[in-house]
Amino acid sequence: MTNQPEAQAEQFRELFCRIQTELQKRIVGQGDIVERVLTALFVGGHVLLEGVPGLGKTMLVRALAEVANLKFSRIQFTPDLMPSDIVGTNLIAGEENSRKFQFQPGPVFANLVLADEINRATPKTQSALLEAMQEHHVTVGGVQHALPEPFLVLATQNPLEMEGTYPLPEAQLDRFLFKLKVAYPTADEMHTILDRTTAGEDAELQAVAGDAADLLRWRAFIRQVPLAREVQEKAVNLVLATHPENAPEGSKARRYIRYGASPRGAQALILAGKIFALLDGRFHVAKKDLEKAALPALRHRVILNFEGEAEGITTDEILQELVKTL
Amino acid sequence: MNPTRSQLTQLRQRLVLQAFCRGAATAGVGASAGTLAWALASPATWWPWTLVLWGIAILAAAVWAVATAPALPEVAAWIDERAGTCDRFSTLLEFEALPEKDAGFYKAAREECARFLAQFDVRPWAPWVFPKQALWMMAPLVLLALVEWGVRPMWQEPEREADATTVAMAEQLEQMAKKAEESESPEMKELAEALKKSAEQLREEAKGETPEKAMLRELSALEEAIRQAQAAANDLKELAEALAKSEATKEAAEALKEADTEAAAKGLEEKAKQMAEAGADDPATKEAMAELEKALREAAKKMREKSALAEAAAQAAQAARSQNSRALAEALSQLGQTVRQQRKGSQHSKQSMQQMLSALRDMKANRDSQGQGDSQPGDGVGRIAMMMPGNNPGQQGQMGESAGEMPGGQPGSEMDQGSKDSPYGAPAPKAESGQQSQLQGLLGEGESLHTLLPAKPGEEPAKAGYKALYEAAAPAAEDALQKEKIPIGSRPYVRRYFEAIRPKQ
Repeated sequence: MTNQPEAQAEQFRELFCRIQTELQKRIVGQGDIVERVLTALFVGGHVLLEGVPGLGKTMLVRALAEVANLKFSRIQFTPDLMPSDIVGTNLIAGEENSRKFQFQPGPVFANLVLADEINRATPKTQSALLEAMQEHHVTVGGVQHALPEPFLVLATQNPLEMEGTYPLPEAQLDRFLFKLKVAYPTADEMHTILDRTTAGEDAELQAVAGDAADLLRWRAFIRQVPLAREVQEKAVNLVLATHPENAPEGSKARRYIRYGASPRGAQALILAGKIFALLDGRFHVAKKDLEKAALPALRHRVILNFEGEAEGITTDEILQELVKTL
Repeated sequence: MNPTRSQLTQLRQRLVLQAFCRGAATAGVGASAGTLAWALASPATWWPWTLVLWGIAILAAAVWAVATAPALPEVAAWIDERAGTCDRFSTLLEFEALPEKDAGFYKAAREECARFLAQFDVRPWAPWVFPKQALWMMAPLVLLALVEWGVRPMWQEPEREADATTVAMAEQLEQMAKKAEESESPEMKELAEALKKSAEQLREEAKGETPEKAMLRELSALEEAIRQAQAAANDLKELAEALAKSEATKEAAEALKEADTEAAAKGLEEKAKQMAEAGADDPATKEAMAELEKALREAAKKMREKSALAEAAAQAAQAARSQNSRALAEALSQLGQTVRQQRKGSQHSKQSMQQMLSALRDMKANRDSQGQGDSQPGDGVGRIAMMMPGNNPGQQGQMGESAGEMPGGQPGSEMDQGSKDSPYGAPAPKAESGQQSQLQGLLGEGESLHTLLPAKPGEEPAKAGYKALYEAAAPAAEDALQKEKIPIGSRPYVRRYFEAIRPKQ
């Protein structure tokens, strides 16, 4: 990686495109989802994927781990899943005369962690993952164990089966950089999926993203992208407008929102905007980058009130109105 | 200035110009409405105020445009939002002001923005647009045009025609002025000037809204002027009578009666000199003083109050009463100077002034009674005037062109039977329409009846009732026959005339 920003930015764009291209060998369509997931990977944020089963969420994460040459682990969340099943536990190990407690890392000790159907686990188990996502370490038996870097959690949840599930608390939701809604594939995409998956083996993926260290360096590079005060003001105004007391008069935000986004939402907007700016060939963040990141970055941070839920208003509608207005 | 700044400056100028146009159009709507309102309220003065209103509107628009001119960062944000430049203007403008502008990403960002913006033309994003408000401006202007050139001529009253009666009266006054100018008397010449001015004034007022008021006003003013002149003449007459009562001043009195004020003044001054030389002890002087004192005191009372002549006479009376010959001499000398200042020939113009006064009174009376009584159509006569000015007593009057010669014979001759076949002379040709007809004759010392009946040229109902006029004139004529020195032989003709013109019942 050279030192000149222009060259580095060019390399980054090439790397990003290469990863996208590789992923497209396994993932049909879902271009936006792939781009957002990669964005989260390079920014260092976690992603919550919401979609019906069978849309390739797990496959996406697996493929990403392969392409990015990262250690991958999958956790299937069930109601009886215990926190220790996630973070690990101390086990007695050793010879008969020299047995001692040895920490056995849980599946969370990976670069890419797929938390499948995270809303099926109990809040206690969910909170165990919460610490790991935020602190990048786990505490077992009073001992902190650092998680490997980069550490990315991609959680999935099924919007259909809500019975017997434990919706993620706002605090945990706020720790996800993006919440992405995986859409059902189109007819053409279905054809492609069937052609690929029902005849022959899956395409071989190449690790084109270097290694974990490279990823960390890219993260540091991306954070250098500057933005004008005017643009940052847009991010601030957008996040503040999600609060009903600051929302524009007569807007849906004022009427249907109970709680607005936290400063993490503004951070998510800026960080995602930097990547989008680089991908667009620019060296500064523009307002349109923030607008592009607005929905995935804020939709899960805004809590509707009863009236909003009763009227079937979605946070996407509210955010789209705010983006147009501000 | 770097290219981006110059681009933004150029854009800013365009935006300010657009704001000015919009502001001017908006203010123009108000100015147009104001112009329309002013034109409706004050048709004569709206033009200059229109320029003032528009000037204020344009100035206000200019001031507003400059005051609200956006700063460069605002212009940058404006163009970024519209032109899809990905905030390059705002970013570049901000980064160029940073101390780290040449480091790392800031430099790369500036260079990338500059490259992009170098090929960007801001002008299409701020095109000149015709302000919509200007359309609203047209509404009051169109209404104004309709009012000014379409409706107002219908609203405006037609130009007044000059009041014929007033014009006729002005012409009468001009004729009177002409006659007065022929007199040698300075007073009459002054009156002639006054008559001319009044005639001019009446002509101007003829098209006014109240020509009648103007007529009465002028006539009253002339009446007053004549009365003043008459009073001055009367003062001299009183003084002459007073001076005649004293032997010492009889000569001066005679001179005054002859209207020779210069001679009278000299006489008084000589007498004053004599009295001063004779001294107060002279019994003749004392007696003369006593006579003079009484006469002058009475005369002063009869004169106009506070007139120079009255005061001088009163002072002379006072001096005579004091039996101080020197004081009397001075007072007589002063009286002589005052007499000298009076107009020569006042006595001779008295008659003319009386005639003028009568004519003016008739004009006023006829103006008041216009349109009343029976009327008979005129016979193509432009004006009917019976005015008889006479310059000196004993001078025969002159008939107008339409009349024949007067019957022969001198006043007072009872043997006169007339020298012509027809006492009325040859028939007078009919006057053409618009021609003035006047009858001028001898005016005696007694009362006279004057009637002025102005009328428009052409056929028109008479302005005064004929029957009323006849009933006023016939008895006066009979009375005159009894009192005046008219030859007995001529009297039947007068009677016959009035019989002939008696109105049919």
